Amino acid sequence: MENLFKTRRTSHFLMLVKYWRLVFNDHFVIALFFMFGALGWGYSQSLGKLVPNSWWDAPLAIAVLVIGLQIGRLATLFEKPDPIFLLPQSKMIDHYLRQSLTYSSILGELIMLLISVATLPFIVLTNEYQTWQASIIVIAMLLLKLVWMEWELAKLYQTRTTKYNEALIKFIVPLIILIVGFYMNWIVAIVLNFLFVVIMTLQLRRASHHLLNWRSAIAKEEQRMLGVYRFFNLFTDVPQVQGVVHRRVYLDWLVKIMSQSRRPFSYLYVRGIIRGTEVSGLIVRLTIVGMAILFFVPIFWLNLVIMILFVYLIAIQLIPFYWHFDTHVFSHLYPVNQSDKQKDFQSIINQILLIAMIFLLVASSGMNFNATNMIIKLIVGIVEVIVLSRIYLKYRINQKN
Amino acid sequence: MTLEIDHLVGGYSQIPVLKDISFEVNNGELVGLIGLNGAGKSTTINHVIGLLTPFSGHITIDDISLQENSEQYKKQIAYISETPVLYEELTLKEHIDLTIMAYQLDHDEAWKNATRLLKVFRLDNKLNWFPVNFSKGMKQKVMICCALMTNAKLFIIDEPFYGLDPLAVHDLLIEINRVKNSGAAVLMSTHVLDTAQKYCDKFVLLANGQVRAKGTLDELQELGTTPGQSLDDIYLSLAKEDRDGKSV
Repeated sequence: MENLFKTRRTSHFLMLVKYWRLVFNDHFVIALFFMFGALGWGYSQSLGKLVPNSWWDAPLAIAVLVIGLQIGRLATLFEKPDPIFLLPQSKMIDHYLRQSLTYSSILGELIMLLISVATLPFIVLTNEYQTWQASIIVIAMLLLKLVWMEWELAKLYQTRTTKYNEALIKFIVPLIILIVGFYMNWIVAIVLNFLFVVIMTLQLRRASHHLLNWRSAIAKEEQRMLGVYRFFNLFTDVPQVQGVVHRRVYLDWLVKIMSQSRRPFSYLYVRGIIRGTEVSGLIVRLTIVGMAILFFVPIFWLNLVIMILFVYLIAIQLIPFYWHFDTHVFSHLYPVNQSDKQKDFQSIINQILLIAMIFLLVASSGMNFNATNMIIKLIVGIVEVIVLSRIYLKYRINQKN
Repeated sequence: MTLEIDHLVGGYSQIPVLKDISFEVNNGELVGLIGLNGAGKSTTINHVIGLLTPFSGHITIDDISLQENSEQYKKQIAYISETPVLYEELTLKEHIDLTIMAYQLDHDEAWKNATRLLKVFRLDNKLNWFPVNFSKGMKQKVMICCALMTNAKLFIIDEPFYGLDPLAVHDLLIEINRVKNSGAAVLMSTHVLDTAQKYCDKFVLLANGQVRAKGTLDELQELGTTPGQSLDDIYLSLAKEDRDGKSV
């Protein structure tokens, strides 16, 4: 029992390492490089244009910090059979949960540190702060994250004493502390913050005298793991993620436009892509991220390269869907020519890439529209879509067969 | 002659599961494929529907083999699998539409047919449901409707009775009888022997990847020791010999 958390942490770690290796070994590194390059460049560029002491800079900083506070969750590493197998060990669970709190806090605090350090240049510049104020902000954020984690743990117990409102601890109190800091005095803010930590720690100790609410604890952990798997599923196939299907009646018009009449594979692929959450979600997210980045990159060539990159990324994510129905016996039974399947998929991927490309193109014009640049980008984009959906798709399919 | 299996040797990897199997299913005939777990029933069916390639031997439907003309071959088959498989992304209605497209059926006529079947199996008010919302038995019924609405010449039904309620079993047997009478051949694997005895015209008894006996019930009874045995008795005595390692 003593070692249970350690064993789980080790195997959890190994699992993460396994997936991270898959995430970082191909085109994603290039995409990340460009993404962070573009974001960093844009950030430093816009910092130079800032005028100190505008009315909006403190609210913006507070918003970023409070939202950043919500990232990084409590990892209990509970598994479904636990309530049955660990039943006789109910008391030892406290020890286990303490270990999980330590583990999750280290990760959570690291994320918090990154976020607060990243926002510091903006805060220091707009408020004309000294080093001591900057350090207090970082310390305050780290303490707030600690409280956040303790609250997450306290919630797992069946207790009426933790009737604190979720919003109060995660949003309102942090908001008050930051407002006091930004608009009044950082010393007062940090004192309030320490008080908050003491109250929460006492609260957690009181809560832990109660029984654990296994059902919700396990549901929460499963939800968290699903999020982790879903993230990895962006880059590779994760067996634990089974796409959910939504009817999406409001997209029926799109289904109708995209599927050709009397072609079974066209019929299947269009509905599979649009109603499954896996691929459609991915494409929408990639398109939105791409649009956001393109909007803020004014340099023409960099903008063009990023647009090409995102169309390519979307294509990469779409292509494996070609094999989506292969495990399904009827896909082999229907009296349909296999070359029709390839043709149908090609036409669908062509349409989707074209739509995504146009969205990216529109966003890429940014705030200053230039007709010549747009035409060049449009032509390049169309050529890329054709190459990807014809030559590259064929290449990938042949490679697999 | 619709389905003809001639000296079929086959299996999943290099090791043959089926050793020299031959039998045929004629038009207007319901043939029961019977055998213990692992006898080779599903393997035989997988070969017929083309998921597995024979090591040697031939499978033909109306003298066309899968290798010669796969589209024509597949067009003649409708299949109901043992565990229901449906497309998660399609509604019941869309499964029907897909079947119409895949088999290139006449839209209106096929829908008329489908509507009748859906009504029989009490699915007609669930046209917009997704497979997730169906129980196992309902999924099985969807598969049945999609298969029976085609005008295939050969129906292959793998263990159809599990998960179906008694009323649905009854209705299924009536529907099988209907396609049989309209001239189609039906190959059905099952363990439910008393039902098989009542409804099948002929039987193929598989054991250890070989055909142990085939023919009508009368012909099988002649093989047994005591006359007038039920299919159950014949099957059990054959199975027992099999387990004891004796051969007939």
